[in-house]
Amino acid sequence: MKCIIIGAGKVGFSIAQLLSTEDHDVTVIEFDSERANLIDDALDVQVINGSGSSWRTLEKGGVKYADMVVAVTEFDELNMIACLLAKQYGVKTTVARVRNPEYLETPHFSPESMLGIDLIINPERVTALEISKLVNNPAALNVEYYAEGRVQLMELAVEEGSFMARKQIRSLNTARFVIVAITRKHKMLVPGGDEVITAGDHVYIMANTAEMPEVLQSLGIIYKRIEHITILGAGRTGTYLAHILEEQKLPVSIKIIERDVKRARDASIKLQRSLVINGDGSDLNLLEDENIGQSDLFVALTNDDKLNLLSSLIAQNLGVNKTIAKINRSDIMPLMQQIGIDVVLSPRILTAGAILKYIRRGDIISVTVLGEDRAEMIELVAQPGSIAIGKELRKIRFPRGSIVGAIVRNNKVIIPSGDDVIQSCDHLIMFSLARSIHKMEKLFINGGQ
Amino acid sequence: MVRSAVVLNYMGKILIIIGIAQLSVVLCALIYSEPNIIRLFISALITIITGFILSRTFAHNHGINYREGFAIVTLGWIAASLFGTLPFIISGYIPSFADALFETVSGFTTTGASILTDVEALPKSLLFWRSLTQWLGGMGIMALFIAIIVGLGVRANQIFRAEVPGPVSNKISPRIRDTARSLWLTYVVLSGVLFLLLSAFGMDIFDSLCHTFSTMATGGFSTKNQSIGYYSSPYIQWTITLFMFLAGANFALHYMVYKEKTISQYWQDKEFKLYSFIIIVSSMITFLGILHISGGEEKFRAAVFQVVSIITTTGYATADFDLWAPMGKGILLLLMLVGACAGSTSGGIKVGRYLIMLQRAKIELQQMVHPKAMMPLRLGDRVITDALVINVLQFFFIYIFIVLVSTLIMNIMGLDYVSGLTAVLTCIGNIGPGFGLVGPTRNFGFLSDTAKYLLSLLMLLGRLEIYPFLILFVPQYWKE
Repeated sequence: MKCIIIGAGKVGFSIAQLLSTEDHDVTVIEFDSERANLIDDALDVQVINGSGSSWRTLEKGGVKYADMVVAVTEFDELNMIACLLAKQYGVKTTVARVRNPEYLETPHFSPESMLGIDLIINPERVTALEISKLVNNPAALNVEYYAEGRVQLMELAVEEGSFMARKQIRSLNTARFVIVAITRKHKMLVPGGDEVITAGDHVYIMANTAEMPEVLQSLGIIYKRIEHITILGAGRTGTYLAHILEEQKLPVSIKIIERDVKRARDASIKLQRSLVINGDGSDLNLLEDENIGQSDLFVALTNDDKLNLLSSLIAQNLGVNKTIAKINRSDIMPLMQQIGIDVVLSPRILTAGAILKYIRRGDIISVTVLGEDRAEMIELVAQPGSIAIGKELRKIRFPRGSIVGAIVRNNKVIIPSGDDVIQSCDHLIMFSLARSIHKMEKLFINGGQ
Repeated sequence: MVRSAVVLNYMGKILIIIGIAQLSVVLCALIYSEPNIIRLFISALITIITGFILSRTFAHNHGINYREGFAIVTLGWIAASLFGTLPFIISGYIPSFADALFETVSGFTTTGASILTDVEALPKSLLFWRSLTQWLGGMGIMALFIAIIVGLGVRANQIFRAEVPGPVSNKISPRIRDTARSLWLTYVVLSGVLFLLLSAFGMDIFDSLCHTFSTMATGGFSTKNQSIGYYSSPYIQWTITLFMFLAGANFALHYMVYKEKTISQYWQDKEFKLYSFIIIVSSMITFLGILHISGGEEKFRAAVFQVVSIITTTGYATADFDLWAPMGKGILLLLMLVGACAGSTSGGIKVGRYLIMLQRAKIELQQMVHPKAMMPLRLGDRVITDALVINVLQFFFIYIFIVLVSTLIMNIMGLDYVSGLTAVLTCIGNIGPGFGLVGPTRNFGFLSDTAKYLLSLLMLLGRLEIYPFLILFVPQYWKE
């Protein structure tokens, strides 16, 4: 597939990187020449220095033969215009990043259909939605849903002395769940039955959504419902998050701390039930006065990475159980987790993930990027006539670093063992490291190999 | 700067409207072939000619500026009141100027307090004039003026706001003139329905018309000495209760319900909800308070009627509530301080203002727990600005302050505390009867002229909601 990516910022870079490692032809259009050179050095892609809203540049980038255009510059209007132009050249799929909620919140018609853009993605909203999932699943560090919500994937941290620590996977009763992956010391691995879980691991557990609470219980994971949330920063992400949580009508009390008076006022007007506090999030006195230590969850969403880090640490020190921090510089993400922040989110990776999820559709139903672009969850339909059909799982030669997590057949979720046989039209939810994805896909697609 | 020519010109135009209204009184006298036709005609003529001379002499083609708006409203109301006394004085039925002024102001401001001992002794034409002043004052002389006269320009908006009661007024059409027209139309239609109902339930045509006028205006002038108590028919009493209730609600809301064709508009309005809630709770308490008086439905009807009559600042009576137990009287006294909805024809402080003040009180307490919290004041889906909150709180303060000082003055003039306080409350709140010496079976006739002038002033202050009136006493207002 030939893709044009407009804007080589953080998101553009991530997408270009992922697509190029997956053997797609990627052209990056970047206005800033220094940034363009940097991309040229770092990635195996074609780089064009110019504006994505100019037809000349687009033609130079081969827009006439492109299958897809992804516009992710920092300017909403430029992204939209680039997509409109691309559509005129007959590009099949266009994706634009648009942050301004005014362009998106139209009650009467979808902005996609109005503008002729196939997917409009809003990074702040994506981030807020991600966090809201974590609020609803307090035990998890990360939650994903597949097969229309029937299958759930959870990332859990294993602590010293917990039930799972120092156990062999074989010794756990794995009839109702699959451990699809483990992250250990920033490396992701697909465990066999002999693997021993150690403290500090993050395990990825896949199970039937309805059965997940029981699975967690059987694994000795106790969690408390989240009732008090403190959000630092009433920017777009913070306001979106509070808004989403308010809409869910859960018995959750929300406090938002924002330093800027105007932003605090705007948020207080927009939000109905949340308490907006105008003050400095790193001010210990304020945090103590407002009893932040009693919160079940502290979410740091300012645009300042250092402030997010600092205030999360203060919150933990005051007694908050769980902290989530937004980080713009994804290179320091692992570091943050080491310090003890429970969940670190990068809007850039989330946005890239959301865009990838969309553009990799087709044979594949959905894709989730796990960790930092090292692995993916893939949901696809086993096509009639593909190699895997009619075979028992143990007899299929899966590439290294890949595993089937769940099968959905006739709307029923099957947690597979080696004896299960793949039938045509099964929905498969699989985990795979990036390098093995193509081999993995070929097993289930008609005419593969 | 306030240009006197501009103000006088508009006062002239207002007088012409008042004069034309007085002509209808002449018509009434003609129908009932009363002997005072000529005198009534002369009074109408004086008003019209004065108005004509004023508007001609000070003809101009300037627009109104911001300051002149206030002067036009306040002085317009004063002029209307002064010339409104003419039918009473010239006909000779109320010869004293102080008495005639009290009666006229009480009419235009929809108060309904009277100096007459025997209302039924007045000729029909003057009874009609009393009720007509209430009907004109109810929806607003200025609103009528804006609806009729062309060329007021953008300042019409300000004049309109100065007259429409309540802290916030909704413009239901893009043009203020259309808004004024829609509101007047709603008013006329509701009046028409009430008139037909009252006639159908056996009230004679003349009394139906007069009671329609003073009910829709939440005025309270009756053609009978016993007020609505004269009509024993429960149908008439319930009908009047219902229409007092409707007239106490926001007319913009009635108009929207008519336009959107959904009754749910009412329940989405916070003020309307609180207004209904207060009426239900107060009726219950009052009912319990008068259980010692005999009668079942009758007693309940009396309780609801009186509660609605007082909260909407109408001031009709079906019973002598001055004889009720303290529980019932206490509720009525409280209601005198409440008033009905913004944008209605009622007087008083208004439920809308209480809604804002209660919300603000809640925020104030919450703010003590969270000193740095941002807590906008919401009324439905609308955020109330700090400036408006201060305006409302300040209004409440000035209102109470004026009540206290005026009560003191009444006491100095020899009135006992209960009569003095309720006389002041009932006048500034545009209600009508009070307790004690000014109770529902008595009148204001025995007061000294000074007291009558003071109460007339309070009625005007209350009707114009204080600010447009008081601003004329700010020295800078008249300067460059």
